[in-house]
Amino acid sequence: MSQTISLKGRLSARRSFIDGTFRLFLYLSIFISLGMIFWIVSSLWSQAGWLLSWDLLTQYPSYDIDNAGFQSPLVGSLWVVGIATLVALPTGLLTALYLEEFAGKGNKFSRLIELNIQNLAGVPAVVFGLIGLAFIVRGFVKWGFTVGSAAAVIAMLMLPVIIIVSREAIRAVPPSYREGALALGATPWQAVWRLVLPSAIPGTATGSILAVSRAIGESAPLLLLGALSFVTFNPTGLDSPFTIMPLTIFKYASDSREEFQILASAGSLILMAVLFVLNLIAIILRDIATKKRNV
Amino acid sequence: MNNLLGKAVRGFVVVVMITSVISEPSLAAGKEYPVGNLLECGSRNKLVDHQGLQYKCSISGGGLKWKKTGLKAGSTTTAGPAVDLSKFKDVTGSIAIDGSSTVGPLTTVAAEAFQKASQTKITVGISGTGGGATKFCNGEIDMANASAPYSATQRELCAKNRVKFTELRVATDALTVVVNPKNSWAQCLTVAQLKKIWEPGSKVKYWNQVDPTFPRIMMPLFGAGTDSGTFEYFTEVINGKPARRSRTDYTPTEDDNVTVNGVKRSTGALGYYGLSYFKENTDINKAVQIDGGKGCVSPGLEAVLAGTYVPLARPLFVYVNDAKAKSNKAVLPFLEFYTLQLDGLAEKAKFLPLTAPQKVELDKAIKALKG
Repeated sequence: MSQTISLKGRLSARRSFIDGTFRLFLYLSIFISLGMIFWIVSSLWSQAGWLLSWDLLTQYPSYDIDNAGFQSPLVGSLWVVGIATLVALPTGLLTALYLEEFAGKGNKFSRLIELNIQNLAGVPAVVFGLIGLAFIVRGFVKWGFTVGSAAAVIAMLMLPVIIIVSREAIRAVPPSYREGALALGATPWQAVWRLVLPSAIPGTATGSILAVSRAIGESAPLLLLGALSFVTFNPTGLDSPFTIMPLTIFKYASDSREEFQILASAGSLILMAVLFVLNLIAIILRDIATKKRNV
Repeated sequence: MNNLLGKAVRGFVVVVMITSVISEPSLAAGKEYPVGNLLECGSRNKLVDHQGLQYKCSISGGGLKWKKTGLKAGSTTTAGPAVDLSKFKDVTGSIAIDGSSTVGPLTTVAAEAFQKASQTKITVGISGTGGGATKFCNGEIDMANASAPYSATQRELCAKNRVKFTELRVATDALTVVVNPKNSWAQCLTVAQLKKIWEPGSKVKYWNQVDPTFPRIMMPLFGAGTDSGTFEYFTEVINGKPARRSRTDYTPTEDDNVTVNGVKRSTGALGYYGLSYFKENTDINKAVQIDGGKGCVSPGLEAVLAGTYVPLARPLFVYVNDAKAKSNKAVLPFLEFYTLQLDGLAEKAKFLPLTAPQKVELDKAIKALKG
């Protein structure tokens, strides 16, 4: 014991300097990232916080400031991102499972797929929008400027992220789990379904949260898919025309009237709140799943 | 990891809560009570004073303010020609419209009012005159807004896809050339001077290069983005045919607020946009009189109707797909509504209404569509 203390005493000057500097950088980083959020939220809030009311959620976009709100863009955003998540989450998870557990490791074909998925994650969103415009809106699918087309494009955008993160999560499950299960006579299916997948849920959920958050704020691809519109009704199905929050905010912000520019700030606050609530729900669900498994 | 995220979430909640306390609405300045402190101007209330005049709680620059509605208590409709709207109440269907961001507000006002009077669903997209033309000529939409008549290439595309259409002139806009309010020298500019500033390859950087009597002050330029009808029209009438030739070392933007603020910030700045943006910003931008051969003329209703605001008074159009006007049962009633309400709509969207002969022409075109 005394030896340890004396050792610390001898090295303390240099060590504590490095230690202190490192800590300082950590604090600085967290200050910068939290400060940015604080700055954005507070400047939006001081500009438009007083405007927030349920009216903004129940009223539709309007040319008249007193009747203008965000209902149809908000519902449109939820439709598009909701459907995209329903499509992309299972597909992405199953793809990741296949690549990690069943595909032959190291053969050329799976390496090619891997490389492509990683490339897809880096493709600019607007390129997905152009693909959607050419093949889904106009090409052989010919779905038009509808919720369905938008959801398809957003799902394409989300897929690579979900696949990559899910693979990491599955890879992090200790091999001894599978080996133990297989040794006890479980089929590969049972090992994957009952052990690997539940263990990978927390990591997968984190990735999905990121993907959904990105999707709900996405505007560039949907700009090409006709989302920059004045729509005063909620979508009723996949064939409905639609508009989304980010582009309605953009439209309000570029209006000639100052009131609408304030309304745009209010819309940004609403969008942030929605994002926050969605993330919170996902985190709670993930925690529940984690606890269940540990019991 | 979990723990950290949880902490971050809690931290965010605290941040939001602190922010909300700091900028509590009741502490926000800028509330005005023209009718006395009778009632808190809260979430869009209405109020009637002792003379029976209505006030409405409305959003403005610094907060909610009471605004006169100009109505006596009891009356509900705004002033305007009495039109029987009940005949539209059984109209159903949906109409897809897209195109110019300049004409967008006019059609939006019409669409909003028509949807209230009927059971239709109308979408008004804003993808620019050019983007709208592509969709229109692909037969993807029923109607298109345009702030410049379709060019030969656009007409060819329509012809290629066998889309027959009718061109309707619905309003007039006065393209406004604006400078900073502190600019005391440029009261009036001739078309030749504007051309000198905006022509391709122009080397004008200082005001005294335009006119030696002007001071030597830098001239930052702001203008319309190249996908807009505004750009098309301005370059054509100022720089001459063919359209779309302009100097390129200026700040092009699809968002006219960029021009408004750029001109506000710099003493020597010059920019151009539609009249509606000027009407909202008369305090921070100043309109220049234009001399197009008929003397110096300010943009405005009288000048445009008298035909003296040349060459920057421009027609605004709505294009209608002839086949869709027949097959889509909502299109013709909407057009009828549009023309009936045109003056009020144009005023609301801050455009200039049509002259009597122009209206006759519009009616004729719509009759032909009904055919």
